[in-house]
Amino acid sequence: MLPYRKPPERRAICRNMDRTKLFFSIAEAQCSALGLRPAAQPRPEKTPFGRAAAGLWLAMQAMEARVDRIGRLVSKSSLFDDPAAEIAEAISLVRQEMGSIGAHLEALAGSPRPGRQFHPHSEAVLAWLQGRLNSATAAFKAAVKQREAMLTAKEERTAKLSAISATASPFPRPAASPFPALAPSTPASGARLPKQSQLVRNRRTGQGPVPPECSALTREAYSSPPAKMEHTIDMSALGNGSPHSLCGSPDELTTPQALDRTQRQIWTPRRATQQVMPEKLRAQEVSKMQSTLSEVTKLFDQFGSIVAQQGEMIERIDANADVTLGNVDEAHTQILKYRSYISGNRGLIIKTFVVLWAIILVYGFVSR
Amino acid sequence: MLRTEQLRAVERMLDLHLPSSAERSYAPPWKVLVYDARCREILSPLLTLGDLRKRGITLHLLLDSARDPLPDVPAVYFVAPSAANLRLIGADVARRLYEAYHLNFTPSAPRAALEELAALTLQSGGAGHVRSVVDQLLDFVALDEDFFSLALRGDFAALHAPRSTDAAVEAAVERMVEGLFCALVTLGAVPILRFRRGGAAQMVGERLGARLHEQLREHPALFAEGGALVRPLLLLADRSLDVAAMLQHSWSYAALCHDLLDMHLNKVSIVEKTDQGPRQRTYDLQRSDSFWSEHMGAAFQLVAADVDKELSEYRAAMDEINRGGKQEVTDVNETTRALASTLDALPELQEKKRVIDAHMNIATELLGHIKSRSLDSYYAIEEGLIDGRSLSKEDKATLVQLLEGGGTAEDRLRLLLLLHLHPDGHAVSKEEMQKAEAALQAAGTDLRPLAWLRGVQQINEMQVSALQSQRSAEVGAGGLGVFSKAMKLADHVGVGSNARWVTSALAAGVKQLLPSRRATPLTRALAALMENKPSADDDAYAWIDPKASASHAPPRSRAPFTQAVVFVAGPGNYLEYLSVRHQLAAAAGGKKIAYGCAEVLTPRQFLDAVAQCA
Repeated sequence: MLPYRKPPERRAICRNMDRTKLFFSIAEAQCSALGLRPAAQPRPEKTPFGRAAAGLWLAMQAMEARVDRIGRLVSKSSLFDDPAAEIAEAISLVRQEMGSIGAHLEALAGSPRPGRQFHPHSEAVLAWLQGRLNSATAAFKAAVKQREAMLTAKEERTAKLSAISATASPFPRPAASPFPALAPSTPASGARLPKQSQLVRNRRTGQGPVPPECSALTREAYSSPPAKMEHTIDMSALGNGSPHSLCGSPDELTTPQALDRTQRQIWTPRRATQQVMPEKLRAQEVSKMQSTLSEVTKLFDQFGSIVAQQGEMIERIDANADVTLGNVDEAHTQILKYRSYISGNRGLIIKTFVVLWAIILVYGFVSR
Repeated sequence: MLRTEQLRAVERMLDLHLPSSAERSYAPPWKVLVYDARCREILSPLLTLGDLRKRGITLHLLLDSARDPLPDVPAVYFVAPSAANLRLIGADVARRLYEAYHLNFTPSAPRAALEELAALTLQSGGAGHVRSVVDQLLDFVALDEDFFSLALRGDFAALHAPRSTDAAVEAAVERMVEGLFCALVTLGAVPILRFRRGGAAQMVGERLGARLHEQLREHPALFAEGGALVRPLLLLADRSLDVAAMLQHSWSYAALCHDLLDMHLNKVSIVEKTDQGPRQRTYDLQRSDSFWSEHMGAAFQLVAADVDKELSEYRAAMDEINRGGKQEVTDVNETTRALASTLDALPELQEKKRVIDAHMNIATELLGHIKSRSLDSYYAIEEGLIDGRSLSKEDKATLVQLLEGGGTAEDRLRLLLLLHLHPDGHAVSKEEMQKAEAALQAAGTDLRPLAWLRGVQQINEMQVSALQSQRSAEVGAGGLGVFSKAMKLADHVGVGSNARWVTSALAAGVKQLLPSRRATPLTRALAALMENKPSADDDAYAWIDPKASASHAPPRSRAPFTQAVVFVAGPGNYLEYLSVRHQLAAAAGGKKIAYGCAEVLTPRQFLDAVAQCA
């Protein structure tokens, strides 16, 4: 692990010197030296305006906290746990409070406030309170608006969900069994069997007129909009297990009792699971998503800390590189100096040797 | 960074040093702020009235003004710990003016002051109402993130007047050290000090080094958590290093505002002639104003052109909105949406309009000054003079003309002083200079600055000549001729061959010039010292490391500095600030440079100060 230092908390840095303790120790020393009794003077009394304004400030703070809470509740868009009652209660409370605070403010503004400096002071206080009230009102309005938007969105969603479940199930109104509706047409259904099978075939290809006298099953299929036709067919085919059971074995379909029985056999359990399944599935999906999201968050956190560490490293590397550069430059100048020194020497050596040779040669010539 | 840090400290002070919002919520947040004149100066570039209101400050009053009792409001005092201020505070406590007293002293209250305060408050029995006593160490004015002034008045005279006593000099140096120390504490860094030997800079440097060293030994907590991996360089310079910067005419926006409109604490006031007589308007030029922060160092004609452009953009946007309103109503939803977007856009546009109007007015005012005093010619000639370029024949003619009767007497005096500072150009003959001097004297101008300059010049002669020889060696004798010819050619075309030709209704008839990008002695020294390589400049400056103790000195690092604070021990101005800032822009890499001076003076104020010294 790298020695990663957290960036210092800016707020915590204190670039002043608190002398309060020193002051009071000096004061105490003087007290005892002079024999005075400390804290003789009573606190100045509050003016009525000050008291009223302080009260308003407290009320406003409570209201702001409540508005804040509403905002948090509203933005926490949970599908299953909707604190509707709490929100409604808080909203009505805030409405009341806002009204009373506004009224008090007006009353306070109307009250006499004499004094050359007291008047501007009180004006500023009132303006400040009014500003706070306005911003709180704006926040409150935004929260309420968001709440309404969420409610409508929720309604839309439930409407859509029910629509989907209606199309998904061949029996749209789950409370009333479709079979009673089948009963009046039962006497006729047996006689018109060939036509019905024809219709069934038509339906499977996805075209053909809707005869008024067809069975509830087919009517249901046709009553759904054409776009969902294929889906419906698919579902019914699936739901029946095999397409043969519908049109392949006419003897089963000939009697209404048989029809009744097969459909009940096939559909009854199916309907139950269809009602339960989406919610369970959704819950699972949501929890899965949640865990994935939290994993992603963790990853991002790790990534962030790694990047921060690298930043530290890079800073150090940078400083080191700067130092190195300086050293290299210095070395360069040193080498240059040495070179000039050496080259100066070289000249001297050569000269010395030349002179030496000359002397030897002269000596040789002379001695010869 | 400097301004942000100072603002943070002030905000903590206004929040009564309560650590968290939880504690703050017990009592109503209304407070009264009581300050003295100096602290008002510190606060005014930091906070606007709206900011104060947001922090719950209902009233802000001067300590020595008449104040009414407000018995249910706590008061925050932000004052210097002078004896008079302490007496006033004692009287406030005795009169039971406020509910509680939060006392903040800047730079710091000595023990004797606390004792006096305790005695005063005990007499009236109100010592218990004093809630806190804090030393704030904020005794400097942060005009910008990288520009601060110690706002010390009259220190130039104290330091440079021949008849000023040792005690006055000591006091001036002490004040500078204290202010600089505050700035460094606010920055949260212990720098390496560099200064040229001799002069005020050395005195300030040595005192500051000792002060920092002592502080680190006794209360290291003040600089703890600074977290600075890199230590900055603090370059202390004397004003005599570059006097020309205080006298030269300028061409960049901020420097012009300062020179011509007396910008003070980031505020410019212009007298407008309306139907109901003259009316003074004040404009706040803050960093939050994007136009200002972008154009601070820009050439004047560029500023004028950009104001024009912004104005036409604004008009186009307004036209767009107006046209949108007249469109046939086709779809109700569409219209409401358009209306909503317009409503959203309008405040922004209004704000923009306000900014454009302000800059338009300022630029118009500046233009009036420039045209009436032919400051563009002044600037072009002076720039050539200081840069050591040989002037063309036409330039010489204009120079003589200017000396005879261009601009105001003050402008002529400044030019004359610059001619004295740079006599090597041989631009004007001695006789002409004397003639101009005589003319100025006849016009009743105060010529004491000239006398002072002659005195200083004798002292500085050696330094200047050394600098000159060094520079001419750099350029090379052969290349100089060709170079200056090329520059002359450029002069014919318009100074600075790469000047952007901008056609603008506002700036028509003004020369197209570029603000100075020339290296001043200060920026040259700064560049050399930040390199931190052995060189002639490097040797000329002393080195103090406040962290090093006498017994144990860490080896001196040769790594280049990435942060620097330049402090001129004397007056400074926006021209110099902008040239330092330009250097920062030119230097590659994330270098941070802040510029500070003892006081920000316009050339006119500087001339007055100099006149006092002669």
